[in-house]
Amino acid sequence: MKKNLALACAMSLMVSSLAGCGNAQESAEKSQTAAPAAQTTAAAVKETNAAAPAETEPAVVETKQELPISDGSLTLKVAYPVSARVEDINTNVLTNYIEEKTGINLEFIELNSSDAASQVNALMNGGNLPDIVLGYNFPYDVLCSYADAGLIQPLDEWIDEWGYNLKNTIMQDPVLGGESLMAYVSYDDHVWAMPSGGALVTQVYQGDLMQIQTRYLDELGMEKPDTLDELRAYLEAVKEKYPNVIPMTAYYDNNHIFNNISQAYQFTDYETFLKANDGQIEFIGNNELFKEALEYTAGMVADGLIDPAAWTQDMNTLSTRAAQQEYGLALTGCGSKISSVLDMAGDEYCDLAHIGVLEGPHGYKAVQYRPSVAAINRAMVITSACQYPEEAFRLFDFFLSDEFAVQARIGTEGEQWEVAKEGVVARGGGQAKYSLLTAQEWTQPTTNVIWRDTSFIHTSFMNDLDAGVSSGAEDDKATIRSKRDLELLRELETMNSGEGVPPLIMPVDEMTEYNELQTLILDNVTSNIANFVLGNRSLDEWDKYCAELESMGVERYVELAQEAYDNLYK
Amino acid sequence: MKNKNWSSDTIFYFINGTILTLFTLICVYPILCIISQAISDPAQVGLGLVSFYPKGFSLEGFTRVLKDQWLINGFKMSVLYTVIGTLLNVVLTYITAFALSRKELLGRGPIQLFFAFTMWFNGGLIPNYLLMRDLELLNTFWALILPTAINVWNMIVCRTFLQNSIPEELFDSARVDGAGYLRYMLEIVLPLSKAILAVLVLWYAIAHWNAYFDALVYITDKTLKPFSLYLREYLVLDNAMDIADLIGEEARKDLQGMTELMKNSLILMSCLPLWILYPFIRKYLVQGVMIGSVKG
Repeated sequence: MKKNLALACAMSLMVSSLAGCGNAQESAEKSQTAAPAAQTTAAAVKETNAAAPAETEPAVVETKQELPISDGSLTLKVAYPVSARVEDINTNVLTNYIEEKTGINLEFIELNSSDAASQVNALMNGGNLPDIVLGYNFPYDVLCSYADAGLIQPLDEWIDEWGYNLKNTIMQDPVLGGESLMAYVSYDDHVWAMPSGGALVTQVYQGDLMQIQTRYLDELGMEKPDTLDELRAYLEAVKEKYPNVIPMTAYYDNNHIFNNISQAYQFTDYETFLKANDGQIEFIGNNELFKEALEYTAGMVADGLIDPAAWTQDMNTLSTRAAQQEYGLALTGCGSKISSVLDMAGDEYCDLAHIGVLEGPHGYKAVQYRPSVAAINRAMVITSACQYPEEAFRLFDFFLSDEFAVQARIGTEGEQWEVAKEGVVARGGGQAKYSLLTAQEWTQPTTNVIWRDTSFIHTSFMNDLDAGVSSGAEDDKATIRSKRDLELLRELETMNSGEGVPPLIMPVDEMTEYNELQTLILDNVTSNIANFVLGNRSLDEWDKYCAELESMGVERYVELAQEAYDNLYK
Repeated sequence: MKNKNWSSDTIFYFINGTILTLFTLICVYPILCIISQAISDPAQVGLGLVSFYPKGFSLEGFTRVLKDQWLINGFKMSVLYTVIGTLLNVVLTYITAFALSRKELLGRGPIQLFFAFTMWFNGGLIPNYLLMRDLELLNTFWALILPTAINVWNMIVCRTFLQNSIPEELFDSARVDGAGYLRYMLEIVLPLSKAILAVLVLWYAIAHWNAYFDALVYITDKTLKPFSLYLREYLVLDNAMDIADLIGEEARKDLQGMTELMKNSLILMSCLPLWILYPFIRKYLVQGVMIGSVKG
């Protein structure tokens, strides 16, 4: 009897602990799970999009946007994750601005920005619905489950009438994929969230590029390398002349050394290791070009031209090493994150220059274009409790306007920024629209001017912000650096080979499988890159490595990606 | 012979001392690092140059953190939750454990099973949330006190202590002198239970002070939020920053240093109450923490 009881207890303990695991897994929601692209919706949007004017014209904005939205009598209950850096959301300048502009009063349910998922889950499933959920980026599968449960409202019926900014800013944004954008917020032939996103074009094209120390180039009388072999020649020359200088380096969680070298052989997206070749998805982690790139990189490590610590040290270690010696890094491979390592006001940082696109031994030359940098967010949702969905939608659409974006991201005109003067260069090149008057509000430890949020604001307007190259003195090193970057950007934009695979969405079950396969395969490839490059594993084991990948399901991984890619683009 | 013993003792104490000193250093090192990084110059911290010794001096981290009135309010609320919660926990746990330690209690077995059942099965997040909503406890002070008024594990430890450490003869003699259960518990057993009380106070106080998830889910009213919610928010403050916003901004490095300073100042503040509490109950703990290890 006692034995049976003990057995029963043990079983129940096991069951409950397993149930616990299930909960934990559920709460660790996947951020990219998705359902099939709602093609009819995308098509509908396509139609209305064609009818909408291509340029934002102030006169049209007035007729279409109709602000204020309410006469001040409407109050919306907003669940919103508040950043700890925001002093008081209720007295915040941006809150007042929204209320004044739209005539809608905002009553906040303040969520914690670090763990909003659990809170949104409790609010939604606990029947304590706010009117809108803002600033929480709904994972696709979660959005679908709320749609199925009838907890959120579809937005379709308001798009044609009030989706002015949706059509004229965000759907015109090339980095967000244009028309295919709506697929990311659609499910079951309906649109369930207002999309937002955007990125700085420099980040999309230059974010992970290597940067070279121009002081050494000048001293050695060398030109900026154009090919992989010239890069190697530069490092050899540095090693010979400055034996104490750290050669090519990075830190382990931002190490793009191999990615950049591999890019000279073929298109390399280190987040998926997939490329699209004329609409055909290919996995690159096991092909011959990948092996050649590994051999080349391993050779450079063996010859002391690449710092092996790049795969082991963290950011602080590199930062400390760099600070201990002046001009200590010959070539950096941690992309734009090098600004976290070096003192940005210092000469060493300002004298670094991005290397452009390197040509590989087979003559391949294309930019590592990364559309995934501009993530599409699902951070504006109307719940079924909302009595005023039309007004809520119009509020969302207002949030997508450049006028709101600049207020939300930078601050008030005349205080934080002013209209840029004629001839001022923007961060994305071209004429700037806005110039900063003060240090950015973002750089303050705490603020009561902005919400410090990027999730629901259309961020591409940052490309129109003054790059600071016109106001600085001509011989200022930081100015020279910025100008150089902008010139390079123009060049890079012409070199997009179109092989980049955008973030993919697919039905929930397939997405789960895809994510699992991706994690497994990516972990394996990434750890083996380090192993091969550092010589811990011999390239003689290449076939074994390929077999490992095959057993992990590379074929299925590519198949799933292909299907989702076709749904998006065909 | 005697001499030899003495020398082996010395070796033992020497090795013992060395290991314990090393262990202490391992424990103290991160704390000292945090202190250094809380009072150093933000620029130095931002560059990652501060590890063990402070570099420069600045109390700006503390000033910034203390300026946040909601954080201070959270601190006060946490003290309240901890004091009132612990008091209630200890009282309820103790009387339950006392009752269950009496073998003559009617239905003792089923009652114990009833308690133990809650250790194996849990309603889950949403059912608990719905229950709290229907009890109208959401966004109230008691939301963080009542649902965890008794921790079954602590209660079992306390019961085991009472069963094993208090001789049954004491009860018999008290009965002879005319004491009932209440008087026996209050005047005889309670004074003998200081060790277990100290352990309970410490365990419960730590649990209340660190309580995070319940507060996260049940409390959205800012005036009721405990310190732990703010602590977590500050600790995950973005360091890497959104580069799109900050290209060419020199201020970024300073921000990084200041963020670290604020985080470390806050960590120190959060440890303070328990550091103050600990010395007072330390002497009871030495005997108290062993209690659970003896099966009854």
